[in-house]
Amino acid sequence: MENDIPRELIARAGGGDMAAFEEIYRRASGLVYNVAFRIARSHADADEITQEVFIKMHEALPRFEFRSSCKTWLYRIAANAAISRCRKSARESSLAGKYREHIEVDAQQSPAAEDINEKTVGTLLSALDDEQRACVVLREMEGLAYEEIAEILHIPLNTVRSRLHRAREAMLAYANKEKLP
Amino acid sequence: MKNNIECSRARQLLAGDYMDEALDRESRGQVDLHLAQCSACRQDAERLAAVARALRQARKMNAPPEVWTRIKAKVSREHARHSGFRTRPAGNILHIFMMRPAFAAAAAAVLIVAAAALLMQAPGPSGNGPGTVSGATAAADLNALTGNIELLDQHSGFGSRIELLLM
Repeated sequence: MENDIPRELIARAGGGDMAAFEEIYRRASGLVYNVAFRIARSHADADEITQEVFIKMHEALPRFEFRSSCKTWLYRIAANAAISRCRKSARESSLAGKYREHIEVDAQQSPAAEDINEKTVGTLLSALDDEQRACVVLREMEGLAYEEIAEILHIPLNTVRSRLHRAREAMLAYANKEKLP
Repeated sequence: MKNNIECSRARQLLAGDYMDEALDRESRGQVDLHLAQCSACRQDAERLAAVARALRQARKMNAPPEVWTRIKAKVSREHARHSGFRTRPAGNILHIFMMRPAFAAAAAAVLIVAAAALLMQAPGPSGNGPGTVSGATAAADLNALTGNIELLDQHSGFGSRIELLLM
């Protein structure tokens, strides 16, 4: 995976070097937060998932065996934590409104074109189920390959393909109906 | 090359590997040719491309600073807790009993059973085999055992005395 966390940094953090752990957080918290936010669609959930991921990471670092890249590992923990949070909370019907509310709050400090795009992205992602959304976030927003998504979500390659296919059809139907984007 | 694919086939490919540029050259050529001839599918293709563009251009968020503050605090607490456990003298096992009364009671019960079994099997002074115990030896062993159990009991926080009944 591109721009992965250097092994030396992981080894130092695993040995208890807090500055090394902070450097890993600085490099990787963005990807964890984005994946968590786009899948769970709530800043509060993204905050908690990011915290959970890095605490798990800190516990696991001394035993990290480099069988997969560190970023793949982080994507896996973040995506699965976000999906399971969506499932547990069982509040899908109210989340679209919650997401839009957050976007509107953020939009006050941003240029108009970006705000419109954020709103579009929020409504498009709300048209998907959790598994489809995870695939779309990892593929379209994080730019990962099918193989990487399959490894992260522990699903066969063809399942990645079919979920992406169904997700695009759902987003297309939604976009046609709402005249988006 | 077979050029005249149906709309349904074109749309199936469009929403899948076509968007990911994972189609083989022949299939891609078929879809491109269909799009050149079918305005409805072309409109879908343009909308799908716009959806993909919107997702790629979505704002990149950062975790708020307080997330790191909370992580750091939690990690530091865990580190301190583990360090405290490691620096405790290895031989000082009583803290386990002090922290876990149920464990202390279970350990006391195991000690009683083990001691009773030993006493029953110990050969008597006349060498009569298991089951005969000299009164002096049994009393000494039981006194020592009672002392240990009382010690455990005090540390367990139960505040009661364990009674030994001799059969």
